[in-house]
Order: sequence, then structure tokens, then C-alpha cells
Amino acid sequence: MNPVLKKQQTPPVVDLNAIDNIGEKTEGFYKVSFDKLRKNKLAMFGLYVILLNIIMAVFAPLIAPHDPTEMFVKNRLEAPSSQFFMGTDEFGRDIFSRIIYGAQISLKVGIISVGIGIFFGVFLGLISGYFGKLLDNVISRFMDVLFSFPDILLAIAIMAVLGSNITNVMIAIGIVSIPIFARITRSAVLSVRESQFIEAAKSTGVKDIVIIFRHILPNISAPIIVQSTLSLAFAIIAEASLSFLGLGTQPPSPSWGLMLNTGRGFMETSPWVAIFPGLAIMITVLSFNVLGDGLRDALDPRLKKD
Amino acid sequence: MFKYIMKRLCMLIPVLIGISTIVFLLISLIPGDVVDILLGTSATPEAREALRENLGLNKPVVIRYFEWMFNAIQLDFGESIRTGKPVIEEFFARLPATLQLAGLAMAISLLIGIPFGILAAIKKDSWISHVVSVVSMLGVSIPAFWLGTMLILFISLQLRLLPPGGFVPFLENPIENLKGMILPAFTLGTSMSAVVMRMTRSAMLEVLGQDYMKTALAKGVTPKLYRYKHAFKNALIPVLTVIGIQIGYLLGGAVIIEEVFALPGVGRLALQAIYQRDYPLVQVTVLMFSLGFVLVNLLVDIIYAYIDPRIRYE
Repeated sequence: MNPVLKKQQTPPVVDLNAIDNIGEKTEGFYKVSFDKLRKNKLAMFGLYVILLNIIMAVFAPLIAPHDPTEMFVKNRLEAPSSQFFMGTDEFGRDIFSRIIYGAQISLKVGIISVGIGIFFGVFLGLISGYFGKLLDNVISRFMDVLFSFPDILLAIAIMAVLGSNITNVMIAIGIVSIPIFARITRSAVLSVRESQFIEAAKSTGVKDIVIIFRHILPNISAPIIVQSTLSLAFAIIAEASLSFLGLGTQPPSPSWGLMLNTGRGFMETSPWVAIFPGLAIMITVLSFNVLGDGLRDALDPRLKKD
Repeated sequence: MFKYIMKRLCMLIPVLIGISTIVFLLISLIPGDVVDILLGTSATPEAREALRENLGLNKPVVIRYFEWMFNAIQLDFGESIRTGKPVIEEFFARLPATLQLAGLAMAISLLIGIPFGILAAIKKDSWISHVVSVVSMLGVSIPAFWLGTMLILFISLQLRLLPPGGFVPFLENPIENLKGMILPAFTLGTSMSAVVMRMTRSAMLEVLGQDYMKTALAKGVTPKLYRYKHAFKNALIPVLTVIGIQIGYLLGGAVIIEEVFALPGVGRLALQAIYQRDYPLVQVTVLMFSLGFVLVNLLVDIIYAYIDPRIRYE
């Protein structure tokens, strides 16, 4: 349709019933947002896959048919079969079981490293946005510096310094995740800092720390939630990349990236060793990305669709 | 315009100092004694002392920092611990492969991302727009090292269409060179294509909804002019921002892609340096990559100001 001929906008009608309801409990922001999210099929698909991942990680010993490190020496590099659903690797370990246990590593690294990013990033963003001036300048410039390293490269460099193990993977990805949270939080703080409710709180003598955590933080949580989901996707892919390069988790850990790395060596004869871990990474990362996207649509009132 | 560029350059100085400080500190932060890590605890005291001297570890950290900075300004980043050659030479020797890889990847991603992004915005709610959304979501979620591995498996090993890796310098044999670069460049460019596609689509949709676009339509501009001159030109700024940011991903991704396809680029050099704990080499590669990233973003800022005069006069 011709965009010019789009329907005329009608002036907003004041709903008198709504006014009567003031003071009564209305549907909360998160309830409304969740209802919106539920209508987004793609985002719900992402949510279900993530839930499945969590179940896989938590109940791995119950779900996995074999121990992830058990070597069936006679069945090395065996193609997918009824006994080994996704085949076996070069040591005769069951790939399906390893992928299920691998979900533990991905989620653990994802949650802890994004946790580090949120903890430091949001804190820095809050104080730099709220107090402004010199403090803001110093923090913002420091974040600019961290931002100017290509992120995976920064993670690689940190791993080179700290040494390769899973704790350091979480620290490295956590550090890389800090600046984005700091930047998002800071700009969100700036947008609410001048609001009347903050002014009201200040004028009644509420302490800065209480204003920041009780009045500002709850009002800017939406962008932080969206970013957390997207950062989880990044963390999972970063862990897999580091492990793939041999700089992350070490054998015999069933990390998906590590499995893919060793699988490369047998690609021509036994492609399943490399195919399945990659699929697992892709589906998990995709789920976090579509959920993040859906959350952004649901939580961001500016993008409200009519 | 000149004033704007100068202002931007001045803003760069603190960032550059910050980057080099972090890169310098990387080595100082290594837990334990670097000499022990490099030589093992069984080395002779003389050898240990020599290496300590070579790395300048006998001096206080602040002095070392200023010495390092002073040398770095003159592009002297020390010698490789393994080969003894200046690390900057090793870096420049490997640079062409990486530049070609990143350049081709970027070209591929713009060629895919921009036209399909525009198409998806113009044909909103059609099948093509849905396909573009799904493909761009997949594109950002697929791990590059896996995509590269799968391409090698199907295209190189099974169909035998393209070589699975290796590098022939362009000047030696341009055809073999390009054949070898197609798969790596495509792999590296995939996620960037997806991001550019998404950004082009949403920026175009936003511009198409503006009042001045209605005006353009009302005064009778042809559809072609309407789309490309009026809409696309205005949608270009957010797209440019994303391209600037994506260059960082290209450089970081190059490390992984060069490893997958066995390309002798800077990324692989950095990895080898890390495996061999050749710290001066690690420093120079990380520093130069970040520098490249910062300069590209400076360039993007300047291009903005050129496209959109409003930015210049802020």
C-alpha cells in the first residue's frame, strides 16, 4: 500500500475506566511483556531450546546413555548407530553423551562469565551515569579502551596471560563482556536520571546509593536483561572458539568447541565427530539470539508494534 | 571538515595510550616468573640472567613501561624470543594474507548484506523478508570455525571443488590465490553479512516510515530514486556504524579462520606466539590489531561526517 495513504491517526482517547482504576493493582510491566513474548513463536522456540539445554545440563547423568569419558576401545570412530546415537570419537567415547555433558560447560561458562560482565559492567555504568563528571569521564574512557580490542582477540590475549583452564575462560569472557553492560547501563541511567521521581527521591533526602539501587536500577532493567541474553550467546560461542583453538577448557572435558577441534582430524573418514558438536553450539547460540531479539521487542516500548 | 578530523584525532590519543598500557601490562600480569615459564626451572643461571636482561625484567615496571612506550613509538617492539628477529618484521611479513582475507570477507558481506537488506525492507512481510530474517539469525549464530570445517568437508574433501587451505601469494599465482581464499573469506564474511543485512533492513524500514519519504512520494519521485537516493542514503549511517564495529570481529575472527584454513596470516602468528609463549610477538599482534580497529572506526566517523553534515557541526 502507498505509505501516504496509511490510515489517519486518531487522537488518543482517554479511558475513563482506567482512571477509576488508579490505585488498584494493574497488570505489571513484566506480565505484559511476557504476554507479548509468548506471541513471538521464534522467541518461544529459543526459550524452549534453552530450557531443554538446562534440563540436559542438570540431569546429564540421567539422560546420557554412557559416561562422557568412558572409552569403548573396540568401537572407535564408529558411525551413528542405535548404540551410539551420534557415533563415537577417536577414543571410542559416545558423542551423544559428551554433547549432553557439554551443555553443563557451555551454560556454566555462559552464566558465570555474563554474571561477571553484569556485576562489574552494571555497577560501573550506574555510578558513571549517576554521578557524571570526572568519574563518568574516567570510566567511559576506560570502557572505550576495552572496546577498542576486537573482543575475541582480547579474550585470547587474556587467556595467553592467565593460562588455559575453564576458570580463566570464564574470567576472560567476563572481562570482555564488561564494557557493553557498562555502556548500556550508563545510557539508560542518563535517560532516567532527570525524571521527576528521582528528583522527588533526592528532595526528600534519600541517599544516593538507595536512589541508584532502589529507584534507578529497577527502571533500567529491561535493556540489561536483553543484553544478558545476547551476551550469553556470545559467551557460548567464545568459549567454544577458545577451546577450539586449544586455549580454553582442556581434554578430556566434553566442551563442544574442544570436541570439534579434535574431530577436525578425522573429518574425511568420520565427519560425525565434528558435525554434531558444531550443531549443538549453533542451535544453543541461535536460541539465545532469537530469545534476546524477542525480549527486545517485548520489553522495549519504543518498538511497540500496532 | 578539517577541524572535525583534528578533533577526532585528538580524542584518539587517550584511547591509544590506554590500549598500549594494557598491552604492555599483559606481560607484567603473567602469574609466576616469566623466565621460569619460558626456560623451565632447569635452565642455567646465566641463560636465565640473559633472558631477564633481554626482556628488561631487571628494571622497575614503571621504567620498563616508559622504555617500552618510547620504543613502541618508533615501531620497535623488541625481538621474538624464539627467532630473535624483530617482532614488527614478522608481523608485516604475515600482514598481506590477513588483509586480503579481511578485505575479501568484507566485500562478500557487503555484497550479500546490503542488497538483501534493502530487498527485505522494501518487500516487507513478503517471503523474501522472512527468509532474510531467518538467514541473518542463522548467520550470526553459526560458529565460524564450524562453518569453515563443514565447507572444507563438503566442498573441498567431498566435491573437490576448492582447496581446503593453504595460501599462494597473489602475485605468484592470482588464480590459485583466489581459489584458496574463497572459502576462508566466505566463512569469515558470513556473520558480518548477517549483521549488515539486519541493520540495512531495519535502518531502511525506519527511513521508509519518515515523513520526508512521504513528501518525496507525494511530489512524485520515481520509485527507483525513492528507494536508492532518498531512502538508502539516509539509512547508510547506522549501516556504516555496524560495518565499523564488524571490522573488529573480522580481525578477531581472522585468528580462528586462519587456523581452520591454515593461512599464514597475522592471526595464526598470534596463536603460534601464544602457544610458544613468545610474549613480545603476542604484544605486537594484539596491539596492531587493536590499532587497526581504532583507525578503521576513525575512518568510519570521518565518512559519517562527510555523508551527514549535521555531525560535522555538532
